[in-house]
Amino acid sequence: MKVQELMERVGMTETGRAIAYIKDGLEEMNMLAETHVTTIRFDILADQRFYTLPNDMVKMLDVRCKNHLNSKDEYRSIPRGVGNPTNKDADGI
Amino acid sequence: MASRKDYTYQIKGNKLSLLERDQTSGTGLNYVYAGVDGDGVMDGTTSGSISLTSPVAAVTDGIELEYAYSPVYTNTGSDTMHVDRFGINGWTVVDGYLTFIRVASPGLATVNWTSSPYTATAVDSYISITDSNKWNGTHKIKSVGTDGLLQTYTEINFPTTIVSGSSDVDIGLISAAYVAGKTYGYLLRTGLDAQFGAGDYIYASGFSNVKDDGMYRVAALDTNTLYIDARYWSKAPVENSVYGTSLSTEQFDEWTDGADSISLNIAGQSNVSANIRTIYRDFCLASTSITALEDEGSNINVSSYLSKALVYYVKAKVAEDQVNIEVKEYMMREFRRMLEKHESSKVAGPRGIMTGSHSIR
Repeated sequence: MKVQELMERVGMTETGRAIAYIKDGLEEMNMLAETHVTTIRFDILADQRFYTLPNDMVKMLDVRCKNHLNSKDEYRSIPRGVGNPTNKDADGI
Repeated sequence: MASRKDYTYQIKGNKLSLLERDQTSGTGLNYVYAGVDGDGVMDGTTSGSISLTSPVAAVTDGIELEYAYSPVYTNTGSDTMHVDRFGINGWTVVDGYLTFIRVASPGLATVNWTSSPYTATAVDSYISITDSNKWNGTHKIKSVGTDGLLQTYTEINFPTTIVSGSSDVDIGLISAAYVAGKTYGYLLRTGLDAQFGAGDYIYASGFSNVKDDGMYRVAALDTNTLYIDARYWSKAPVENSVYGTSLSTEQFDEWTDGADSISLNIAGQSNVSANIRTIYRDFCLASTSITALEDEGSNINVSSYLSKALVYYVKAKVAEDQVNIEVKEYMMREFRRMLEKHESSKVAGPRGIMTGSHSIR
């Protein structure tokens, strides 16, 4: 469906406003039902604790790590930690 | 065989905090934690801690992230290397904006984002970054450079240094005094050693001889001098195989033995003008055939059924603007109902329950 067709169905005439609402709707859709899902991989760096999340991410579904609780190069889901880790990251990166 | 690891994660703002147990394999089913004796008691004889810490070792492609995204942007290209997908060697900050840098093979013309095959990267168009350790996702282009720089609208705050030399930069090869008998590259300009540190990566551009334009690693410092011991670039398909074979991986020449590769060497110039700037090494891939929802002719990248749900959502927002809450609630209910129907329409046949990793078997 094109933006124009949706505008006609709704009865709108302002394109900018329609596109803004469409973008909101697409986000809401993925928040509720995960209609568009993707997977990416990136490197683990020694002594680097923090990794920036993708800027197009709406909802995180799973975090997997290579060799987590296995030594067969399998990617397995890792648990979310609760509480503050004792060892702080001194350099903040 | 790869060693077993034990990770956990937390979320800190827009960052993933990855933690690892610092452990080494013991005998049998036991694991020996650094700083702990065989009975699991802190013995103080070894360094480390039983508690979680930052990742102990580097792992290529170690994290796999699965997430839902909003299909506001669509990749309409074929993701063919050097057609609509390009290697990016790293990034820097220009005027507070994230700027990607693609480095050409040694001796070849500096990457010009305004000419073929990079012309899809026009101002206000979009690129999609993958395989980056930091900037995966879609970015809008603010400006395209003729010096390999691709500035985006993504605002960031990272320490960067830029030195604009005006007829006062020297570059060349030298049998460095700091490691006798070995040949390294060098950059010389007054005060240069105070602006960069050993281990930094730099992008030098604007030399009259393009053979010296490139991305280098700083090995050591001396008075007004940066010694460089490695060079990095992205290969283009028509180039000689001496520049590497893969278009989608970082190409580099690390002079760890102190001997520069003959075919990739530095030409050497004195008292020339050049820009030397910090570059954060992070090889990634940029797809350039990205379209966004911009006008009435744009296609909404959802299935036919979901587009009907989207109509309900937009109707709800319009009703909300008119303070017609009753209609808004009705439209939102229809929106959610259609989403649920769409979800359940994909469930068929018998269901099996997965066994958890910690369950009793």
